[in-house]
Amino acid sequence: MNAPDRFDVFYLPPGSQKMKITPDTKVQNAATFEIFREDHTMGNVIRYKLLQEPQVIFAGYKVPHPLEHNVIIRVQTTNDTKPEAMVAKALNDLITEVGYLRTKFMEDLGRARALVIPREQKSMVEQEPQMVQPTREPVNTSVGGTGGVGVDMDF
Amino acid sequence: MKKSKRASTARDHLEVLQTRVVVERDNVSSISSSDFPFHTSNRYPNHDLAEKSRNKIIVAIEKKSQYDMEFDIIGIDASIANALRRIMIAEVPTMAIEKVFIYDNTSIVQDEVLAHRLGLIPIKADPDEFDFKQSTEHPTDQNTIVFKLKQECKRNPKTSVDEKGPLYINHNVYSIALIWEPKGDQAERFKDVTIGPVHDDILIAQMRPGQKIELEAHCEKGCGKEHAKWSPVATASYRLMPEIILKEEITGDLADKFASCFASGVVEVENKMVDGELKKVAKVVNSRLDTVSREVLRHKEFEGKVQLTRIRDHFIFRVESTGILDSEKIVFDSLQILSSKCTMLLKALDIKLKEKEETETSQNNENAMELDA
Repeated sequence: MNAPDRFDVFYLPPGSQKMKITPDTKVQNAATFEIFREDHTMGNVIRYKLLQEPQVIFAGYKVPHPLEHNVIIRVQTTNDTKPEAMVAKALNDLITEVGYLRTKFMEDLGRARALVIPREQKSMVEQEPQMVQPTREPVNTSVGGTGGVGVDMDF
Repeated sequence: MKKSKRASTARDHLEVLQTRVVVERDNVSSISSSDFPFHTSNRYPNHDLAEKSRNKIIVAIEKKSQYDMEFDIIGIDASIANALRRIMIAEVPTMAIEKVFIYDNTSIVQDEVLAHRLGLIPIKADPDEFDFKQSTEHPTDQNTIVFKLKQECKRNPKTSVDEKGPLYINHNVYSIALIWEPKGDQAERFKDVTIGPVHDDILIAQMRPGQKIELEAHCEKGCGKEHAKWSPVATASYRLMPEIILKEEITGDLADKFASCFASGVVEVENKMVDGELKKVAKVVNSRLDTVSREVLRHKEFEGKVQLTRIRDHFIFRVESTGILDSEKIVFDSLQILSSKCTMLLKALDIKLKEKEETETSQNNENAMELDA
């Protein structure tokens, strides 16, 4: 009866805004960003990217209510910059990182694909689909080195 | 000498806390990442962290079949790993039955239960070929796939009661009974592919002689956020790579006991020459297989000799498709969706900034005009 439409979770009515920026009235260089029809997926990832910036003093996010599909991100920066600029940088950095991930994934997929038995061949011998274990150089995960990972990759 | 050793163990300890989640006997510690500028235990206070983390990303596919894969991503933060997992489950679109027009249903399964069961059947159709249907839109060949199901149960005339053999004909309604009905140019567009349920043997309903089901089902594009029937994955999950750190060598009969504390294949007992004597020595061979059961921490004899940890930035993903999309496509799509969401937010931010600029300039103009007056 009074149940909200199911598509409310992700559907933004045409003409309504995606984002609302409210500058903090008491603290300099601080603002809250309310993003409509987004959830922890984007909230947490933006928070993480913001915290990577040395100019960001505070960054946090919350989903105020489970039945309202929006997320609030609060940012405070140093005097060198503005919260809007930092959020934009965070998003741009994220795009670059996901781009890297995608290239890396495609690269490794090419290698793994070559080891998987093609589909036609499989049906010919009537085998159950098998998990093929591709061999690769072991990733060094020992303690030590500068990063969390022993192997450093060059681009 | 003694001092430097102590310093090195302290450094090792710090290194573990920075890069590992520590699994203790009755709690888990050092959970949160410290990879942030000005963090108290930060290793690189003034480096460009974004640059640094990007340069050590490794993706490695461990196991792969068409609908199932296990792969590692090393060097990313939990927030990104979790975003990918959430997107794979809830935001990668597929096609599923959304509207069911029931013409006749005299079976014992109620209409709404039948419709729900139909909705959960994975439908093999490429979602990229279809558009999302808004609630106000009419169904077209671009946004809807139509299936028909018509089945009537009858007594098997060839079998009398005392004879062996099937008593009824058509008394099980399987998913194979869903017949695709191409609309518009669909027959031409999908002439090389088969559109229909992924599995032919999903039991939808059971009937008895005289009962009948006749219906038309409309498939629409959607994503798992709206209803789980649109989720392309059976499971999409990640875990952190376990690591067993041996602080000192475990030898003799203890080595056997040590090995038995872990899942098979994790620890192997080797024969090694120690001080001119052949001794059994425990060695960690494959910590990936470890279930991190903490059994080893229950025994007094291993106290202080072993530390169970997980590598904080080494994610082992497991993606199991429902059979609609290839597992690799699900992962690739999730990456694509994540970056397109970022682009969309950037645009929204841009609009807001322009609005702000405009209001500011108009205000300035007004102020200037007031001054002139």
